[in-house]
Amino acid sequence: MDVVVCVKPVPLSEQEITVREDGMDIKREDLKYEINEWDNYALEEALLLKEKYGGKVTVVTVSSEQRNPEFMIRECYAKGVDEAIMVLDDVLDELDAFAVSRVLYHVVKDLKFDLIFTGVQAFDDNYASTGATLASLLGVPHASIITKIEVSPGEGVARVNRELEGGLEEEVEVKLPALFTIQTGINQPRYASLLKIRMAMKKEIKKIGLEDLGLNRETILGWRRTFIRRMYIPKVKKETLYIKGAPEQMASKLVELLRDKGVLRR
Amino acid sequence: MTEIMVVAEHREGEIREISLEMLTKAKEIADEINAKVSSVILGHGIDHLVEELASYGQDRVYYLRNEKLENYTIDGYKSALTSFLEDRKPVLTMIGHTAMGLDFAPALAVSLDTPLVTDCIDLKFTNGQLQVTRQVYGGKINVELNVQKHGSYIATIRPTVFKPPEKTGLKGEIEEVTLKIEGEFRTKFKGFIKPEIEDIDISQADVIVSVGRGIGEKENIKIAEELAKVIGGVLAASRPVVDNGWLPKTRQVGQSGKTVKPKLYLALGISGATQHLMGMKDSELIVAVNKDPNAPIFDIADIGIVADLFEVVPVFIEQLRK
Ligand SMILES: Cc1cc2nc3c(=O)[nH]c(=O)nc-3n(C[C@H](O)[C@H](O)[C@H](O)COP(=O)(O)OP(=O)(O)OC[C@H]3O[C@@H](n4cnc5c(N)ncnc54)[C@H](O)[C@@H]3O)c2cc1C
Ligand SMILES: Nc1ncnc2c1ncn2[C@@H]1O[C@H](COP(=O)(O)O)[C@@H](O)[C@H]1O
Repeated sequence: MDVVVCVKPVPLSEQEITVREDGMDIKREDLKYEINEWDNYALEEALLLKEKYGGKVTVVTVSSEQRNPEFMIRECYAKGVDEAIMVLDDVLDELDAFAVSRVLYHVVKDLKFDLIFTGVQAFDDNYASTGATLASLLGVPHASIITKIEVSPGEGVARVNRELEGGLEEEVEVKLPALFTIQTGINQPRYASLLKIRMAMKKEIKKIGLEDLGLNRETILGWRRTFIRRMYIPKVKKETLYIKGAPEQMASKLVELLRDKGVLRR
Repeated sequence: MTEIMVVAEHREGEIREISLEMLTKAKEIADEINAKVSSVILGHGIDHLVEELASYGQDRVYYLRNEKLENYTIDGYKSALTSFLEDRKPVLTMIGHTAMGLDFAPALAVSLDTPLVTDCIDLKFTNGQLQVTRQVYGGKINVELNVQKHGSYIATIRPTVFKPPEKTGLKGEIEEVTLKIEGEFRTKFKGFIKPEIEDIDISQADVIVSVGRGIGEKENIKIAEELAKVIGGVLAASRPVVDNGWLPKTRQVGQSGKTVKPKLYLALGISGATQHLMGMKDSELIVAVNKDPNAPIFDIADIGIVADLFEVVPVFIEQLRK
């Protein structure tokens, strides 16, 4: 089972995120990046398949320098990834979903794979379309929001569960090679030990420039189909009553408010 | 005449709410650009659903009927919708940003070579160009986008943003479209898997204490458990808590979990991502404790406490005991 996993470095979710003065991007200076939560589950699923069936796990990332993708890649290596391919160019932060999918397509089309995994969505841009777009460009079947995978290499198919709404799932049989977008909770991702991360420092990361893919900035910028007008912090729709003060004061005020509203039994 | 096409979604004999929500927005846009609104529904043996859909007041409902469309499959939907939309050429095709929609919309956009924008919370046309609003960074930021000028667009629409229209009583026209779907599917539907029997039904509770990733580790769940006991409520959670195995799936609130409407929903260390909000935003009273003042949960909270939950909750429990 050769598995390609697409991984994206995204800002850590608990950070304060603010908009740049010109409203065209977020302020990125002090942000820390890590592997997208969904991709971390996708990576684990690939490693589990490798442990079961053998084969190779390759991670692919398309990133700007400022997202510090090397750190993410080192962690991937420390967990057992065989090869990492990194397309690095600052222009990549200016792309939209479709353009990024096409860049990924140019990387992945020449790789050998039985499966490709992406996350269901990236925490930052939230498109939830890269996986299905990539599969369609490659001409391989796909299934989205996967919570369980059983491959039958002999039959050339995988049986997967797709998560629907409200706790319902459906089982789908998919011909291989195929692409799956992986949902959180499908497994329990392993941690990379510091020692292993340090050992992974020596491993080579295959760095690819756009020109190595036969592309240039102008071409890929031309693939964009959406253009940012402005970014802003959404207006609050509901009037929220904020309770302030020391913990004791906040707690007693809350008790009082809840009593007034009649939601406490006594 | 210009047409806006809404792809209706149905499952297990019911039209899904998103199909109707999209009609509301479609009509609004149609009024502005002088277009008509149609729905398209795919399936087999669903005449009653087609009739029902037609009573929501659109110009026309297209029924793509084929045995191979009995259950949703990506290959079936892609093949049927590609040829149908190529023929109709609507200026805008609206698809739900749902488990089903996000599976086939990108494939359709590639096969039709049409610009796609996903998870839109608002959209409008300005001089023939589509402009949309979406949310990024877990709902912390909104972004407005211009979509490249094109003869037609595909947009997926976030559920629960628009209100479904009333039934009009007037029946829209129904047009059955027969089509050939050839070739073998590469993806086959095998069956639904129902949620497991539950230890408890959180949707019946009047008071819910819900914990998110901010609870930090499994050990800490017991703080919330104690609060639930003292306040007379049940314990629930956001997805990461369940993903980590700290609480069973039956406790998950949100799009892929339970929808709840308790008298009191106490959110502890939950950021308020849309998929969570979908499951609890209609609660009567929402109290949020979060140390990030910009957490989107505060947008829908009635009472907000910006603080470390570990500082507030223990004192709160103490005071409730008194
Ligand atoms: C298809 C799909 C379906 C999904 N379905 C669901 C669903 O049904 N339900 C669901 O919940 N999610 C669902 N999600 C996931 C959703 O997108 C979010 O990832 C998730 O809701 C985030 O959970 P959270 O708020 O607990 O975690 P985070 O977003 O990580 O937020 C944690 C919060 O805790 C706060 N915090 C940290 N420490 C403290 C402290 N000591 N005191 C106070 N506050 C603190 C932080 O400020 C932060 O706001 C789904 C996603 C997808 C793609
Ligand atoms: N720049 C990128 N590099 C590598 N993978 C990506 C990139 N952008 C998106 N992906 C993959 O596509 C998934 C869905 O992202 P999105 O469609 O942007 O929400 C992510 O979870 C990744 O697996």
